[in-house]
Amino acid sequence: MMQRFEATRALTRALDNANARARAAFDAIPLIRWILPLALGVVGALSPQWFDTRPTYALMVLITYLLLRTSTNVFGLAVLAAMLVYLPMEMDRFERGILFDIALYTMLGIGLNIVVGYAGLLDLGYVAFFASGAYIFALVVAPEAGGGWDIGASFWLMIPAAMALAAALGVALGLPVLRLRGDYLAIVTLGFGEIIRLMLNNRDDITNGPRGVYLIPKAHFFDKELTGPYELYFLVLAGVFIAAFAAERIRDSRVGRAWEAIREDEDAASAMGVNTTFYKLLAFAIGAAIGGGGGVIYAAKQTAIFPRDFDLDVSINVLALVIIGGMGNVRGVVLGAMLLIGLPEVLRDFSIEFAFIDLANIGADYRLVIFGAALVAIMVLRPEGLLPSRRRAAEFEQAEMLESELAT
Amino acid sequence: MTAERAYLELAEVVSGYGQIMAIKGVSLRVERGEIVALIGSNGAGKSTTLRTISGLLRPRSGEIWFEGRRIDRAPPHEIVARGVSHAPEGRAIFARMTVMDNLRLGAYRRSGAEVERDIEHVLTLFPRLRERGRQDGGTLSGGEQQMLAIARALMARPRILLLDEPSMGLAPVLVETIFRTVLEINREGTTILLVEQNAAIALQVAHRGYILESGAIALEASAAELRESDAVRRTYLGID
Amino acid sequence: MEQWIQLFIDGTTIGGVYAVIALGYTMVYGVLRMINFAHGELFMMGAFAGFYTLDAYQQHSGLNDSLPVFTIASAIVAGMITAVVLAVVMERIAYRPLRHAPRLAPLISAIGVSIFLRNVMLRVTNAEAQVYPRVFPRGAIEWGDVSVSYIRIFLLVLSVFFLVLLWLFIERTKMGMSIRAVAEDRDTAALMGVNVDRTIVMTFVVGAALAGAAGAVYGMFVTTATAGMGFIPGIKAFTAAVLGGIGSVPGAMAGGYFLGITESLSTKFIGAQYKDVVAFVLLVLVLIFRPWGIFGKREDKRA
Repeated sequence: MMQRFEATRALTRALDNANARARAAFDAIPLIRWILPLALGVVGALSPQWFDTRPTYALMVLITYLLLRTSTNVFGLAVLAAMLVYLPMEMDRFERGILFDIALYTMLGIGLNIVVGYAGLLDLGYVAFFASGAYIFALVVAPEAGGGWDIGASFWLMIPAAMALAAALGVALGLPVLRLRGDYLAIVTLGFGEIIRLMLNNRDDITNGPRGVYLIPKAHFFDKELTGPYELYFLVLAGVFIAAFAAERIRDSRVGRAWEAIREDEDAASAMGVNTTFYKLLAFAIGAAIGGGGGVIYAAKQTAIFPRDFDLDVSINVLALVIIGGMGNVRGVVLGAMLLIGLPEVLRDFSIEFAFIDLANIGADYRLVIFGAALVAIMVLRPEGLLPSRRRAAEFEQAEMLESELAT
Repeated sequence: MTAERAYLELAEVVSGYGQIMAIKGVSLRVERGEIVALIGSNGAGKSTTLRTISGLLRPRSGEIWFEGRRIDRAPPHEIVARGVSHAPEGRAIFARMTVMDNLRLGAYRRSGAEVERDIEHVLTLFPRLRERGRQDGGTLSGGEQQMLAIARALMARPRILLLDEPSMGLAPVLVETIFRTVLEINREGTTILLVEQNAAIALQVAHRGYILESGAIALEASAAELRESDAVRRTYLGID
Repeated sequence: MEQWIQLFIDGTTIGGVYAVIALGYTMVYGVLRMINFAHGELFMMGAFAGFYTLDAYQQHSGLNDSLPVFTIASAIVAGMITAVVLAVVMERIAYRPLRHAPRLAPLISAIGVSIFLRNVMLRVTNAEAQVYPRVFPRGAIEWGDVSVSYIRIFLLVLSVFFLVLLWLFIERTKMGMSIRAVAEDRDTAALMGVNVDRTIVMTFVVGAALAGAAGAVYGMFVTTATAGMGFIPGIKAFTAAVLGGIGSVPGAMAGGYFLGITESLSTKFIGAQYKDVVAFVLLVLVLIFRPWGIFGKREDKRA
């Protein structure tokens, strides 16, 4: 009996030590943070049978690296911009699809980051706004759905219109839940997200139900038809830059400071005269508008959308990428989107063929298994995210400080 | 090689939360059978000292010895098992449990008939609690909660009792009742380390006292000497 | 009248399943203030353990026919053990290192565990539904127009049995008392001599055992196990826990039955496809207007 107890204890201690060592190594050697991705990128680029979509992966890694090195460095940003334009030209359709997804999720991440990272409102139903943008657009322009407006003009009008409607939805959903905090808010928003999806599914008189809305016409840019992920990728990219620019500007404004006050201590903020109701709704509205804009572009790219495209997994993916990247800053969101959206796709082509080991399909078969384990590992090793903003890192310290250090 | 260790001894203990060290090298000694008062103003580090002894906080450096063994690396439940019992600041009664359940939790590491005997014993020390046995802890008055907190700490059959601000928020009559019981507990053989802001009453019951100022011991003397000291009179007793 | 009775019984059956799963959510939330997103996957793993056990008996012996009581019982036990082992491992690896981290970190970690387990089972089963061998005698008790199949009765009785067992555990045992103490005030519980870590693990163990058992029985009821089967019952059970006031054990039980019956009634009167909508609308309404639960008393507000 006693011995068994001792054995568990020894194991527990060993686990704790291993954990602490891994964490210390990660923190102590800043090089590891960019040498590791760089090394992986080189390996990826040099060994064809390991990574078949190696340009994608190399791109990912390089951007990550640049972002880590040069946050406001003009040269770095220029290289980054050139690469973002040049690399997709070299890619095939599948790789461009991945790139589109990364960019789209980056845009969604920036939107959710305003709600969660800036204002501190935990939203697990962000998909609701993404879905509403997509459906508003699709229902208006798809002839099958009784819409069928002239797409040439309406696509560019629909983006702001759908964003405005999504923002209105954000306010409408935000109003009743303003009093709620933390976990309760998370659950209510999760419920909202699921209700929206189920209603899209059930009200087939309006949405065509699970059969979805299809034959969504192509958008045009002057005379050029925006046919696929490649053209629309640039549209999302523009969306990402606008959203990122707006988000950073707002964060540094009076509004951003109000959010910060609410996030840190809502009661105190309210006592200091911050109109918490207004600013919380504003966060919901801006976040929703960005999500709605993303939805329009998504619908335009897919040309057919279905309620099942908008399940809880979307909300969870966006939230996870925001948190893994490091809440409260755009760089973190970009990194998070690359890892969360890009990595599982790149892993599809990953296989091990070395000497007598032949696991040809390990990537395709186990990518989501690896993904799940990676989420846990990142949280355990870096609970504040991979690239926390400086302010966030300080808050994290504070939280640790206030937490009583129960010696266990 | 081994220096003579006191019954409870803190040697250069540094402890606190995160980066902020609320106590910066506290050394103090409590001998068996004593009542020792630890006096200081708000934020001097009194509660941090007690929380570090009972293992809720792990000291950044320094050593804590009890009955000749080091306890500063042990988890709280093991420290309780070694005979250190802590009635925390703010009483920390389990509000959703009955008074009796609170007492039984105090004896968590023991079981059997002796627990029921001990309940009987603490109820004779605090007769008021007997009438409240079936009530939820949250419904008690402040004074009753303080009695329950001390009674509950006694249920562990401690050899040393750490009391954190037992007089806080109580009417003078109640404070007297409680301190009379504290003396009685000490006479029954329990060593007591008492943290108080109310220096007057603490120095009445204690044998010796320490003055804690911004995380360090400023003064150590017998209770009688401290009562007469000018500095203490001015700062802590409010007498000119 | 008979129609009402039928709806009520149908609702109570599934409500019992929700209640049993909901206990795991509510207990873990009680001690850690954390939503264990992977709890529905423990239920799913329990269903698979039950399936593999019954399938092994089917392949290698005739016990499923000759001694169904034994094979059913061992399937349930297998479900419980599997879920318990997984819960202990996930607590140690994915949650305990994050005890003092920002609140979102354990949430994401739990989501990672959930994705991991779901996809492991997708691989193992090649994404195909596994069909349970038929162990339960077909047939039903008929009473006028009311018809209750044997498996339903079994489900009903078993859920009540587990709920009573858990109630006794929480209220009457020392371990139950320490769980209540840690839920109320972790530091003070430690000062009483409670081993907090062990208590937290125990909470996971108990919740997982219930989820694993529920999974195995539910698998026999719907006769299939799939990797995705944990999601909907998981989220419904979670709703049940919220309805009863999350953190409250009797609340989770009442919430489970309440949700089951409400769903059953709405299937009849609103339409089967709106069953899930009703559950979520209920969830949202309760959280907005009575965040302490339908049955709970209003307490000091928890952030």
